[in-house]
Amino acid sequence: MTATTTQTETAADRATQPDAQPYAVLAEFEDVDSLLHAAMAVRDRGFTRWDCHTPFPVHHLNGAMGMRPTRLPWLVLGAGITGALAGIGFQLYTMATTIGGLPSPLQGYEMIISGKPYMSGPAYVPITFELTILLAALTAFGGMLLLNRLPWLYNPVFKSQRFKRATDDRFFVVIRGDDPVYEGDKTIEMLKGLDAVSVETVED
Amino acid sequence: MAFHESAILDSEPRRTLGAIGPRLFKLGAAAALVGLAVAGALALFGGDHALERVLYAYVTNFAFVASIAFGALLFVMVHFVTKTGTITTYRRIGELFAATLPVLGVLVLPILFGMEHIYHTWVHPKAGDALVAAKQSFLDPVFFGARMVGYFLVLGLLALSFLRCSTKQDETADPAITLKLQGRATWGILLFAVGITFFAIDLLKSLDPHWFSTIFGVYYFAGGFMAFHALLALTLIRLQKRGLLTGSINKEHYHDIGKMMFAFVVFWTYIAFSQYMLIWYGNIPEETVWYIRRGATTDPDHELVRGWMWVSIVLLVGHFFIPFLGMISRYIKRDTSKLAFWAVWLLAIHYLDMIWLVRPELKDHATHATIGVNWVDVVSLAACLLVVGGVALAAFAKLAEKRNLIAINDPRLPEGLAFENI
Repeated sequence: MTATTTQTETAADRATQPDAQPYAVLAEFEDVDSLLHAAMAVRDRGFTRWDCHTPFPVHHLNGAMGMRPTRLPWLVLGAGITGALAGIGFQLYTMATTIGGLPSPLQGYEMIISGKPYMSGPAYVPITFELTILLAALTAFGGMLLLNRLPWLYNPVFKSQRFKRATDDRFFVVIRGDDPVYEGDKTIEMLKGLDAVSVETVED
Repeated sequence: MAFHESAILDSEPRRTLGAIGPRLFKLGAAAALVGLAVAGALALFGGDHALERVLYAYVTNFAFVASIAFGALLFVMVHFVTKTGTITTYRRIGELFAATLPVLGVLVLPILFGMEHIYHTWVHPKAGDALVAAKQSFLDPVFFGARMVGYFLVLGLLALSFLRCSTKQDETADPAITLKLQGRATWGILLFAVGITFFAIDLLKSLDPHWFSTIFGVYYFAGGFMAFHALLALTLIRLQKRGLLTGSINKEHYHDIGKMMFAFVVFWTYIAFSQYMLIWYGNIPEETVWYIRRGATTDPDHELVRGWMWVSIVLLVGHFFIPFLGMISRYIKRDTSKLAFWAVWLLAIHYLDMIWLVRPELKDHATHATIGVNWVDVVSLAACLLVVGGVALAAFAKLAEKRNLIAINDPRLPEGLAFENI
């Protein structure tokens, strides 16, 4: 850690030149280990608006980035229960209910099918099951997109020529310029000190 | 850094059973002998229908243990076909379970000798029984015996070959062995599917040759595959308590095994319900009779099956609703003590499932009346579990004794050790 004067200077620079703040700083790493080290260092310095880009899923990256567990399972559970209740409810209402006083178009159809009782558990299972799965699966898919703020069709980091290798053989740490802990040159220096092969800034 | 796989392997003090091996072998052998003595005594002096009761208990336990060994064989082959990284860390345990199949093949003998009592309906068919007459060429005592031996010979040798080749790789570190086993697993799975289907039909479904169900083989497999994963989790937990595999197996791997247990709880239910619903819907007497014998009736004439109705309800609730809700959370699967509880639960309920499949079929040969359950059934179930389970344990201990419990030179092991659930 350098003296506090450096920090105040940087803050002053930023105050005088607000347009100079880049969209993000891009640090390139050669292998998984140095990426994981860098991610832990960035995490420990308190950055919040940053991400890692890798050509393949990297084990332990979630922990190294300090990511919180997702809330998605609770959404899926809720949707599954809703689906199950809706499945049973609709069938009970349409197949086995007569409600006094309701106009006939709103009444259920009490029909004898295959000699079974109106209310037959086994016959209700397939539709209940399918509705549970349908709502749970759609919520898992849609909830994943929503929680990840996807689809995201444009990202300024695509301007970087080096970033193309994120789908091939390089690993990137991207720290956004609007991160509260971001400090311009000091952040760039920190990334260089983490064995980054290259560090560059990207403008929006 | 925990990311270096070689460091994980080096940190493990022991990877073989060592002194535990001979002790397990002795324990298994002693249990088998005690069980054999008790079962023999019961068969001779157990009173009313004692021999049949003991033989049915034996079939129940044999089906239980064999389903786990068969499940282990599929588990190993699925690993090779799907090239799974995670499974590499605990595949050897599955290989060892599966390799007990040839030994279990010897345990077919009591069933072959007792065939006349177990499968009386088709060994001595009644005159004019058209359904049995139509199946007579398949349900022939000699052909049946040959098939029974065949399943264990063919699938047992297949299981042994996986264990041998994989153990050889521990020494040679030759990745070509992995490629060879991947090829073998493809046709092995096809062979397995046919084998376990016919095995289930022969051993369990032919107890009532009048009944029809094309899904029966899958039903047997679904429960067995689930029980295998439960036993795998318990085995790993026990081994780790003894200081084995302490570095290589962690909560990520338990989470994966837990997911398989959970998945096959649901799969079993799916299959069991599919079988039930079609028969309930069709409502044809020769199909519904199988469920009526298990209490699915409101007819007051069926007093004797009333007890089985409760077993059926326990099975439905205990094999689906309770474990489904209990195991749905990832935190349960990642906590070994909670996972161990559910593993014991699932093994117990799979055992009840086997009882439910076998015991209601026991009828008096002359009168065709259902025979009520008494203490002889309960004690002989325990005795036969000692026999079949003891032999399987002894075989496992003997096979595992000098082998590594982890495939140390498998090319996918680093991936398995570094595995993490996202």
